Amino acid sequence: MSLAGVGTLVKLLVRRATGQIIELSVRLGDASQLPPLPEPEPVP
Amino acid sequence: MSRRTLALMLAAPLLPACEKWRARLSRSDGAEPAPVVVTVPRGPETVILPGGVQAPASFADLAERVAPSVVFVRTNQTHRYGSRRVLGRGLGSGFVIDPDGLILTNHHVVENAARIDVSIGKDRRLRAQIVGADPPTDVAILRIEARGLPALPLGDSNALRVGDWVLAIGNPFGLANTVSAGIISAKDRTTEDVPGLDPQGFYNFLQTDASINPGNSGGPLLDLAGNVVGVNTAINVQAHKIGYAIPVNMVRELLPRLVGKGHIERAAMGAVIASLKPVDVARIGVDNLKGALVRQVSPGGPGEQAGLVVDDVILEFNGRAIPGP
Repeated sequence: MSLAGVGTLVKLLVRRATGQIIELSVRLGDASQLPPLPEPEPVP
Repeated sequence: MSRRTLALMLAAPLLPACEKWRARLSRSDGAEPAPVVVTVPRGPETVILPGGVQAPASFADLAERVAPSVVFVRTNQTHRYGSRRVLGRGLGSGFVIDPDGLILTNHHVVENAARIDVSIGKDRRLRAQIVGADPPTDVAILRIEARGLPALPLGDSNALRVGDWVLAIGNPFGLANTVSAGIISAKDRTTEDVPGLDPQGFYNFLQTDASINPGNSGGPLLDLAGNVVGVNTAINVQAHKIGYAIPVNMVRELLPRLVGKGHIERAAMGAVIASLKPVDVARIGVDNLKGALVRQVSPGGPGEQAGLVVDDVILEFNGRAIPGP
Protein backbone atom coordinates (compact mmCIF):
# COMPACT_ATOMS: atom_id res chain seq x y z
CA MET A 1 0.00 0.00 0.00
CA SER A 2 1.41 3.40 -0.88
CA LEU A 3 1.18 6.07 1.77
CA ALA A 4 0.06 9.62 1.08
CA GLY A 5 2.94 12.05 1.45
CA VAL A 6 3.14 15.62 2.67
CA GLY A 7 1.28 17.93 0.28
CA THR A 8 -1.02 15.20 -1.02
CA LEU A 9 -4.66 16.18 -1.44
CA VAL A 10 -6.94 13.54 0.03
CA LYS A 11 -10.70 13.36 -0.19
CA LEU A 12 -12.79 12.49 2.84
CA LEU A 13 -16.42 11.49 2.85
CA VAL A 14 -17.69 12.79 6.16
CA ARG A 15 -20.90 12.40 8.10
CA ARG A 16 -21.66 15.43 10.23
CA ALA A 17 -23.29 15.09 13.64
CA THR A 18 -26.32 16.71 11.99
CA GLY A 19 -26.60 13.72 9.68
CA GLN A 20 -25.43 15.69 6.64
CA ILE A 21 -22.92 13.88 4.43
CA ILE A 22 -20.27 16.05 2.80
CA GLU A 23 -16.98 15.65 0.97
CA LEU A 24 -13.89 17.45 2.25
CA SER A 25 -10.52 17.86 0.55
CA VAL A 26 -7.56 17.93 2.92
CA ARG A 27 -4.02 18.77 1.86
CA LEU A 28 -1.81 16.75 4.19
CA GLY A 29 0.77 18.67 6.19
CA ASP A 30 4.09 17.77 7.78
CA ALA A 31 3.29 16.13 11.11
CA SER A 32 6.34 17.69 12.74
CA GLN A 33 5.13 21.19 11.84
CA LEU A 34 1.55 20.89 13.06
CA PRO A 35 0.42 22.89 16.07
CA PRO A 36 -0.18 20.83 19.20
CA LEU A 37 -3.53 19.21 19.68
CA PRO A 38 -5.87 20.48 22.38
CA GLU A 39 -6.57 18.31 25.38
CA PRO A 40 -9.19 15.71 24.48
CA GLU A 41 -12.75 16.26 25.61
CA PRO A 42 -13.85 13.62 28.09
CA VAL A 43 -16.06 11.03 26.46
CA PRO A 44 -19.43 10.91 28.20
CA MET B 1 14.61 -22.70 3.67
CA SER B 2 11.50 -22.80 5.77
CA ARG B 3 11.58 -22.86 9.55
CA ARG B 4 9.94 -26.32 9.48
CA THR B 5 12.55 -27.65 7.08
CA LEU B 6 15.35 -26.34 9.24
CA ALA B 7 13.85 -27.91 12.34
CA LEU B 8 13.57 -31.26 10.66
CA MET B 9 17.15 -31.11 9.43
CA LEU B 10 18.34 -30.51 12.94
CA ALA B 11 16.12 -33.11 14.48
CA ALA B 12 16.82 -35.93 12.12
CA PRO B 13 20.37 -36.76 13.24
CA LEU B 14 19.31 -36.44 16.86
CA LEU B 15 16.93 -39.36 17.12
CA PRO B 16 19.38 -41.70 18.85
CA ALA B 17 20.13 -38.98 21.36
CA CYS B 18 16.40 -38.48 21.97
CA GLU B 19 16.09 -42.15 22.84
CA LYS B 20 18.99 -41.80 25.26
CA TRP B 21 17.33 -38.77 26.85
CA ARG B 22 14.04 -40.62 27.23
CA ALA B 23 15.88 -43.43 28.96
CA ARG B 24 17.42 -40.99 31.41
CA LEU B 25 14.08 -39.33 32.03
CA SER B 26 12.54 -42.63 33.05
CA ARG B 27 15.02 -43.16 35.87
CA SER B 28 13.28 -43.61 39.17
CA ASP B 29 15.85 -41.88 41.34
CA GLY B 30 14.26 -38.47 40.61
CA ALA B 31 17.55 -36.93 39.55
CA GLU B 32 17.37 -34.15 36.99
CA PRO B 33 18.26 -35.64 33.61
CA ALA B 34 21.42 -34.14 32.27
CA PRO B 35 21.17 -32.39 28.88
CA VAL B 36 22.46 -34.48 26.03
CA VAL B 37 24.87 -32.72 23.74
CA VAL B 38 24.92 -34.00 20.21
CA THR B 39 27.43 -33.03 17.60
CA VAL B 40 25.92 -32.98 14.14
CA PRO B 41 28.55 -33.34 11.43
CA ARG B 42 28.87 -30.09 9.48
CA GLY B 43 25.94 -28.65 11.41
CA PRO B 44 25.18 -26.85 14.66
CA GLU B 45 25.39 -28.57 17.99
CA THR B 46 22.07 -28.91 19.72
CA VAL B 47 21.01 -29.68 23.24
CA ILE B 48 17.82 -31.57 23.89
CA LEU B 49 16.35 -30.28 27.10
CA PRO B 50 13.66 -31.94 29.20
CA GLY B 51 10.39 -31.58 27.37
CA GLY B 52 12.05 -32.13 24.03
CA VAL B 53 13.05 -28.49 23.64
CA GLN B 54 15.92 -27.99 21.24
CA ALA B 55 18.53 -25.39 22.03
CA PRO B 56 21.84 -24.55 20.45
CA ALA B 57 24.70 -26.05 22.43
CA SER B 58 26.70 -22.90 21.79
CA PHE B 59 26.32 -19.51 20.19
CA ALA B 60 30.08 -19.23 19.79
CA ASP B 61 30.26 -19.62 16.02
CA LEU B 62 27.50 -17.09 15.49
CA ALA B 63 28.95 -14.62 17.99
CA GLU B 64 32.38 -14.91 16.39
CA ARG B 65 30.93 -14.35 12.94
CA VAL B 66 28.85 -11.26 13.74
CA ALA B 67 31.03 -9.55 16.36
CA PRO B 68 33.27 -7.73 13.84
CA SER B 69 30.18 -5.92 12.53
CA VAL B 70 29.19 -4.54 15.93
CA VAL B 71 30.66 -1.16 16.81
CA PHE B 72 31.22 0.83 19.96
CA VAL B 73 29.77 4.35 19.81
CA ARG B 74 31.26 7.04 22.06
CA THR B 75 29.88 10.54 22.16
CA ASN B 76 30.73 13.90 23.63
CA GLN B 77 27.43 15.55 24.31
CA THR B 78 26.33 19.03 25.12
CA HIS B 79 23.35 19.60 27.38
CA ARG B 80 21.88 23.00 28.15
CA TYR B 81 20.35 23.75 31.51
CA GLY B 82 19.08 27.29 31.22
CA SER B 83 22.10 29.41 30.47
CA ARG B 84 24.52 26.68 31.57
CA ARG B 85 26.14 24.31 29.13
CA VAL B 86 27.13 20.93 30.52
CA LEU B 87 29.39 18.55 28.69
CA GLY B 88 28.80 14.84 29.02
CA ARG B 89 29.93 11.58 27.55
CA GLY B 90 27.80 8.78 26.20
CA LEU B 91 28.33 5.15 25.31
CA GLY B 92 26.30 3.00 23.01
CA SER B 93 26.40 0.38 20.33
CA GLY B 94 25.75 0.15 16.63
CA PHE B 95 26.36 -2.14 13.71
CA VAL B 96 27.53 -1.96 10.13
CA ILE B 97 24.72 -2.06 7.56
CA ASP B 98 26.77 -1.11 4.50
CA PRO B 99 30.37 -2.05 3.67
CA ASP B 100 31.02 1.55 2.65
CA GLY B 101 30.68 2.91 6.15
CA LEU B 102 27.02 3.15 7.15
CA ILE B 103 26.32 2.36 10.80
CA LEU B 104 22.89 1.90 12.33
CA THR B 105 22.29 2.93 15.93
CA ASN B 106 19.69 4.58 18.15
CA HIS B 107 18.91 8.26 17.89
CA HIS B 108 19.18 8.60 21.66
CA VAL B 109 22.76 7.31 21.52
CA VAL B 110 23.91 10.23 19.36
CA GLU B 111 21.36 12.89 20.33
CA ASN B 112 23.02 16.24 21.17
CA ALA B 113 26.42 14.77 20.33
CA ALA B 114 29.08 17.33 19.54
CA ARG B 115 31.44 14.54 18.55
CA ILE B 116 30.87 10.89 17.72
CA ASP B 117 33.58 8.23 17.64
CA VAL B 118 33.02 4.71 16.44
CA SER B 119 35.32 1.84 17.38
CA ILE B 120 35.30 -1.11 15.05
CA GLY B 121 37.43 -4.13 15.64
CA LYS B 122 40.08 -4.04 18.32
CA ASP B 123 42.15 -1.05 17.31
CA ARG B 124 40.18 0.99 14.80
CA ARG B 125 38.58 4.19 16.01
CA LEU B 126 37.01 6.63 13.56
CA ARG B 127 35.06 9.87 13.68
CA ALA B 128 31.44 9.49 12.62
CA GLN B 129 28.88 11.89 11.21
CA ILE B 130 25.12 11.62 11.46
CA VAL B 131 23.64 10.88 8.05
CA GLY B 132 20.05 10.79 9.22
CA ALA B 133 17.97 10.49 12.36
CA ASP B 134 14.36 9.88 13.23
CA PRO B 135 13.55 10.66 16.88
CA PRO B 136 10.00 9.24 16.81
CA THR B 137 11.34 5.77 16.07
CA ASP B 138 14.72 6.29 17.80
CA VAL B 139 16.76 5.34 14.73
CA ALA B 140 19.92 7.05 13.50
CA ILE B 141 22.35 6.37 10.67
CA LEU B 142 26.04 7.27 10.97
CA ARG B 143 28.77 7.34 8.39
CA ILE B 144 32.43 6.56 8.95
CA GLU B 145 35.11 6.94 6.32
CA ALA B 146 35.88 3.28 5.76
CA ARG B 147 35.41 0.73 3.02
CA GLY B 148 35.02 -3.03 2.94
CA LEU B 149 33.36 -3.27 6.33
CA PRO B 150 31.56 -6.47 7.36
CA ALA B 151 27.88 -5.54 7.08
CA LEU B 152 25.20 -7.49 8.88
CA PRO B 153 22.27 -8.70 6.78
CA LEU B 154 18.84 -7.44 7.79
CA GLY B 155 16.37 -10.24 8.52
CA ASP B 156 12.61 -10.41 8.71
CA SER B 157 11.19 -9.42 12.08
CA ASN B 158 7.66 -10.25 10.93
CA ALA B 159 8.70 -13.89 10.65
CA LEU B 160 9.77 -14.05 14.29
CA ARG B 161 7.68 -16.09 16.66
CA VAL B 162 7.43 -15.68 20.39
CA GLY B 163 9.93 -18.18 21.78
CA ASP B 164 12.47 -17.89 18.96
CA TRP B 165 16.10 -17.70 20.06
CA VAL B 166 17.86 -14.36 19.65
CA LEU B 167 21.32 -13.00 20.43
CA ALA B 168 22.12 -9.47 21.60
CA ILE B 169 25.56 -7.97 21.08
CA GLY B 170 26.76 -4.62 22.29
CA ASN B 171 28.75 -2.70 24.85
CA PRO B 172 26.79 -2.64 28.12
CA PHE B 173 28.47 -0.34 30.64
CA GLY B 174 31.34 -0.05 28.19
CA LEU B 175 32.06 -3.77 28.19
CA ALA B 176 32.85 -4.16 24.52
CA ASN B 177 31.35 -6.95 22.43
CA THR B 178 29.25 -8.44 25.18
CA VAL B 179 27.07 -11.28 23.91
CA SER B 180 23.85 -12.39 25.55
CA ALA B 181 21.21 -14.85 24.44
CA GLY B 182 17.50 -15.07 25.00
CA ILE B 183 14.23 -15.49 23.24
CA ILE B 184 11.57 -13.29 21.74
CA SER B 185 9.33 -12.83 24.78
CA ALA B 186 6.59 -10.87 23.03
CA LYS B 187 5.97 -8.71 19.99
CA ASP B 188 4.19 -5.45 19.20
CA ARG B 189 4.95 -3.64 22.45
CA THR B 190 3.85 -0.01 22.20
CA THR B 191 3.91 3.14 24.32
CA GLU B 192 1.00 1.70 26.27
CA ASP B 193 3.15 -1.26 27.31
CA VAL B 194 6.47 0.49 27.87
CA PRO B 195 6.41 3.27 30.47
CA GLY B 196 8.57 6.32 29.97
CA LEU B 197 8.57 6.44 26.19
CA ASP B 198 7.78 9.55 24.22
CA PRO B 199 4.01 9.31 23.66
CA GLN B 200 4.50 10.98 20.27
CA GLY B 201 6.90 8.24 19.20
CA PHE B 202 6.17 5.30 16.92
CA TYR B 203 7.05 2.08 18.68
CA ASN B 204 6.28 -1.50 17.87
CA PHE B 205 8.93 -3.21 19.97
CA LEU B 206 10.07 -6.77 20.12
CA GLN B 207 10.42 -7.81 23.76
CA THR B 208 13.31 -10.08 24.67
CA ASP B 209 14.88 -11.61 27.75
CA ALA B 210 18.34 -11.46 26.20
CA SER B 211 20.26 -9.36 28.69
CA ILE B 212 20.23 -5.70 27.62
CA ASN B 213 21.76 -2.96 29.72
CA PRO B 214 22.78 0.69 29.32
CA GLY B 215 25.32 0.74 26.51
CA ASN B 216 23.53 -1.96 24.52
CA SER B 217 21.41 0.72 22.85
CA GLY B 218 21.79 0.65 19.10
CA GLY B 219 23.26 -2.85 19.02
CA PRO B 220 21.80 -5.68 16.99
CA LEU B 221 19.36 -8.34 18.06
CA LEU B 222 20.10 -11.31 15.83
CA ASP B 223 18.39 -14.51 14.85
CA LEU B 224 20.38 -17.73 14.80
CA ALA B 225 21.21 -17.29 11.13
CA GLY B 226 23.04 -14.06 11.98
CA ASN B 227 20.41 -11.75 10.51
CA VAL B 228 19.53 -8.57 12.35
CA VAL B 229 15.94 -8.79 13.52
CA GLY B 230 15.93 -5.83 15.89
CA VAL B 231 17.81 -2.84 17.25
CA ASN B 232 18.22 -3.04 21.03
CA THR B 233 16.75 0.16 22.37
CA ALA B 234 15.16 0.11 25.79
CA ILE B 235 14.82 -1.81 29.01
CA ASN B 236 12.43 -1.87 31.91
CA VAL B 237 14.78 -0.83 34.71
CA GLN B 238 12.45 -2.15 37.38
CA ALA B 239 12.34 -5.57 35.82
CA HIS B 240 14.75 -8.38 35.24
CA LYS B 241 15.43 -9.21 31.63
CA ILE B 242 12.72 -7.19 29.96
CA GLY B 243 14.37 -5.53 27.01
CA TYR B 244 12.93 -3.94 23.91
CA ALA B 245 14.19 -3.81 20.35
CA ILE B 246 12.95 -1.93 17.31
CA PRO B 247 11.82 -4.52 14.76
CA VAL B 248 14.13 -4.45 11.78
CA ASN B 249 11.27 -4.38 9.29
CA MET B 250 10.32 -0.94 10.61
CA VAL B 251 13.93 0.19 10.25
CA ARG B 252 14.16 -1.18 6.71
CA GLU B 253 11.24 1.02 5.64
CA LEU B 254 12.96 4.12 7.01
CA LEU B 255 16.46 3.47 5.69
CA PRO B 256 16.17 4.79 2.11
CA ARG B 257 14.60 8.04 3.28
CA LEU B 258 16.97 8.45 6.21
CA VAL B 259 20.02 7.94 4.02
CA GLY B 260 18.59 10.04 1.17
CA LYS B 261 17.00 12.95 3.02
CA GLY B 262 18.39 12.67 6.53
CA HIS B 263 14.99 12.73 8.15
CA ILE B 264 11.54 11.19 7.91
CA GLU B 265 8.69 13.37 6.80
CA ARG B 266 5.32 12.15 7.97
CA ALA B 267 2.11 13.39 6.46
CA ALA B 268 -0.79 14.24 8.74
CA MET B 269 -4.16 15.93 8.50
CA GLY B 270 -4.05 17.27 12.03
CA ALA B 271 -6.81 15.27 13.64
CA VAL B 272 -7.09 12.49 16.17
CA ILE B 273 -9.49 9.80 15.13
CA ALA B 274 -10.85 6.80 16.98
CA SER B 275 -13.16 3.88 16.42
CA LEU B 276 -16.82 4.53 17.09
CA LYS B 277 -18.13 3.00 20.28
CA PRO B 278 -21.70 2.03 21.10
CA VAL B 279 -21.93 5.06 23.38
CA ASP B 280 -21.39 7.30 20.33
CA VAL B 281 -24.42 5.90 18.53
CA ALA B 282 -26.92 7.85 20.57
CA ARG B 283 -24.62 10.77 21.35
CA ILE B 284 -23.97 11.82 17.76
CA GLY B 285 -26.96 10.12 16.19
CA VAL B 286 -25.32 7.47 14.01
CA ASP B 287 -26.98 4.13 13.38
CA ASN B 288 -23.87 1.97 13.02
CA LEU B 289 -20.20 1.85 14.02
CA LYS B 290 -18.70 2.21 10.55
CA GLY B 291 -16.16 4.95 9.98
CA ALA B 292 -13.64 6.86 12.10
CA LEU B 293 -14.78 9.36 14.70
CA VAL B 294 -12.91 12.66 14.82
CA ARG B 295 -11.98 13.17 18.49
CA GLN B 296 -9.68 16.18 18.15
CA VAL B 297 -8.73 18.67 15.46
CA SER B 298 -5.44 20.53 15.50
CA PRO B 299 -6.10 24.30 15.48
CA GLY B 300 -4.98 25.75 12.18
CA GLY B 301 -4.04 22.32 10.86
CA PRO B 302 -4.96 20.91 7.46
CA GLY B 303 -8.08 19.17 8.75
CA GLU B 304 -9.49 22.29 10.36
CA GLN B 305 -8.67 24.36 7.29
CA ALA B 306 -10.65 21.90 5.19
CA GLY B 307 -13.65 22.14 7.55
CA LEU B 308 -13.19 19.00 9.65
CA VAL B 309 -14.74 19.33 13.12
CA VAL B 310 -14.93 17.20 16.27
CA ASP B 311 -17.62 14.46 16.09
CA ASP B 312 -17.44 14.21 12.31
CA VAL B 313 -17.40 10.60 11.20
CA ILE B 314 -15.03 9.91 8.30
CA LEU B 315 -16.77 7.30 6.17
CA GLU B 316 -14.30 7.16 3.27
CA PHE B 317 -10.65 8.12 2.77
CA ASN B 318 -9.78 8.67 -0.88
CA GLY B 319 -12.73 6.56 -1.95
CA ARG B 320 -11.93 3.69 0.41
CA ALA B 321 -14.62 2.89 2.94
CA ILE B 322 -13.46 2.86 6.56
CA PRO B 323 -14.82 -0.21 8.29
CA GLY B 324 -16.10 -0.34 11.83
CA PRO B 325 -14.20 -1.81 14.77
